[in-house]
Amino acid sequence: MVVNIDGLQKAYGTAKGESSNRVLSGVDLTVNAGDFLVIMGRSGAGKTTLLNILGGLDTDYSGRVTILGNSLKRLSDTALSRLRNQHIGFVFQAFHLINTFSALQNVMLPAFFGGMKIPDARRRATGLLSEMGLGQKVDSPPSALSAGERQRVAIARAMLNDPELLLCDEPTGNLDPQTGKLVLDIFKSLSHQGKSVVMVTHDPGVTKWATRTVFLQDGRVTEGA
Amino acid sequence: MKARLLSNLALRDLASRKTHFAFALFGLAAGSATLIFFFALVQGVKAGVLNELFPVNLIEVAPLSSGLPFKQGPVIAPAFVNRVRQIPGVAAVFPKKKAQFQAILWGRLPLVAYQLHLEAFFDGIDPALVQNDITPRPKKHSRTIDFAFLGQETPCKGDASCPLGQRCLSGWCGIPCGAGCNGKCIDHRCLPACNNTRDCLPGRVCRKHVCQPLACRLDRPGDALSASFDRTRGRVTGLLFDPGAKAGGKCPGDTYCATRNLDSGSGVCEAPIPVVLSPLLTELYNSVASSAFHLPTLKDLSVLVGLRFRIIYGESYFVNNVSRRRQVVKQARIVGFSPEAIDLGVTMPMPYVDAANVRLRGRKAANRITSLLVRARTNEAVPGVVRELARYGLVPTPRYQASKRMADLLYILSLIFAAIALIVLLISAGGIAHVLLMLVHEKAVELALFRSLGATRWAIRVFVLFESLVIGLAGGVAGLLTAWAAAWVTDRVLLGHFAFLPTAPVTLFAFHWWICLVGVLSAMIAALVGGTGPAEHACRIDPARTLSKE
Repeated sequence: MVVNIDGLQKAYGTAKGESSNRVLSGVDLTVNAGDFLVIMGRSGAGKTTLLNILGGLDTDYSGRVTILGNSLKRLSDTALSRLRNQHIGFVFQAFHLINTFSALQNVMLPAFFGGMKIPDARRRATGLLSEMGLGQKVDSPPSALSAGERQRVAIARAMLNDPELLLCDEPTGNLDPQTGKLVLDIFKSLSHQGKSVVMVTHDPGVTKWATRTVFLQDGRVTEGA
Repeated sequence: MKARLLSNLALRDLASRKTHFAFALFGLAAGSATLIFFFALVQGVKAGVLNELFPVNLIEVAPLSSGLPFKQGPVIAPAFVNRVRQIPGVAAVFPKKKAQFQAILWGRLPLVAYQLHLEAFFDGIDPALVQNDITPRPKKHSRTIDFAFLGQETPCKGDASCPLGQRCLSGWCGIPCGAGCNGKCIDHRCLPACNNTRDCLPGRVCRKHVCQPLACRLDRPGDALSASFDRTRGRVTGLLFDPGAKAGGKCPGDTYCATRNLDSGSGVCEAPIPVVLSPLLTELYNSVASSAFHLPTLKDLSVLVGLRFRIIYGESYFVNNVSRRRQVVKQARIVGFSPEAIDLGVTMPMPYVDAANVRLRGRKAANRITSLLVRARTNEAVPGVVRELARYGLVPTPRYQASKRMADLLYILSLIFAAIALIVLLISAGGIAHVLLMLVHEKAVELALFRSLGATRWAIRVFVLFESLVIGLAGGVAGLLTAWAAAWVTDRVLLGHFAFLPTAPVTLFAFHWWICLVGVLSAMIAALVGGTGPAEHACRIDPARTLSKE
């Protein structure tokens, strides 16, 4: 089991002591190796909040969240950062690439925060970019890449440390349908390789690629068809 | 976070915010330059001017006028010197004796067509005191310009007219033969042993393996009888022969025939008395005397080195209390300049003053130490040594007190300038905080991304502080270069006005490595202080919210 969520609750406080806004109210969820889990829900349902909690970016919650056997609440900032660096990969809707870096340097970024040696990181990043069909664009800055190419660079970056869990926040939201399909194929392929992919979206068409689909509604998760 | 990424990102950020960082850097450079410039100035003035002219750790003390133990009236007993040597913090003690008589000197300055006649004051010091600060430095293997006692034969009629430790033997003062004699006995005198004349002091000859004085006689002794000092005209008249002329005296090398007294034509060969002058004396000459007497100014002190002049011991423009029979003509030669030399007069090795004091004022006068030069081990030890000396009734001379006041003033000035520099640096730290805070706001998403990729809070803090350090380093180096340039300009402008002073320093600044380091480090510390707030802000960025907003 890669992810185990048990009774997760999350509320955002509001100003001047007004009642808090409960976003997640008792989420129970497990993700196994090789799962391609799609979490769907309307805007504001708490999909991104759930993803941030899974990634250890948000630790202000109640309940129990375990990633690869590590209870996130109990980890120090250093241990949590190491977990994110070594075992979790993030893919964002807005790509979040550094414009002043080349595609290769962007992919290598996680290596600068972890233990991977720079020459090894360069080799691995070059290989990943080639796998993504960007072998000719390793030195191109993000501004010279199309949206689909940028998202593939972002996926390569997420995969640099070969993580067990990939967290994707609306990764096809800024892509045209054709490119979106290409990206989803990549995620599918990764799940076939044993990676756990958790993706949040409100695009129902994505469910065709998923091995599991859950719906987030009224702060709770319900299994889909 | 790896250093490579740190430097890459820092340089990129600096390049992207050139104008903002330039302003921050300007403030740091100004503060750092202020600090380095004034520290270097204070140190330069201290080392190049103050310590040269008034070494702070060299205290000249003289007895109070009231009677205290170990003293003979207003002078210091020789036995007391050893007590002073025992005071904690004292590295060395050098007795100083003033001449107890007056004298006239005359000589010819270089490039001047006529002779100068001056009332002269003398003092005697231990040559060891000035060996290290004498300028210009004596050439290697050159005996002729050493500041040392080169031997002197003192005629006598009894033991009372000889310096302490000597007796009147066969008409000349000398150390009597006995158990302590390291040389050989000639006419009951202990004289140095030798193998050849080179082993002997100038004016001596090696005979029968003993260095013996070389007797001489002026060719025209009758002329010596007519030599006299015309007090009305203020000059020596009738002295038709040159007492130093080799032809007349038949003395070897550069020695001259030193006669027994003014009326005698016979004497012994002697080397001129080596004397040192104070640099202040030459500055006084350049600033006052040269224009008053229409004489050329001295730009280089070395032109005076080697200059010979004559002295009549016991003669004066003002008083007449030494009998003509006791007066004597000696030759002296300038061997260099030292800040330890008497300000207005000439300074010679102590034995010469001893011998002259005995001759003109008696044995008791020769025994009088007028002041002590006490060298403290460190500048910090000086106050303790001064306190201890005061317990024995010895107080610093006005000259030392003046130097102490100057040193204190420099210290206060350095504190004031350091405070000014600190204020400038603090203001620039505020500027850096502002610029970096702006940068952190602009880079919030990037920093949040780093957090999502595995950067710890500490790594984010280090990242921002590293950027501030880079600015600090650049500001510090810019400050150092600015201070150097400002010092160069200051030297050109200020020292240009003092070029007439032979002792004017080459530079007013001393850029010690530690001053440069303190300057650059202070800029880096100010930048770090400025970067601390933004770094804390950066490491507290909530990555979940920041990344979700985009």
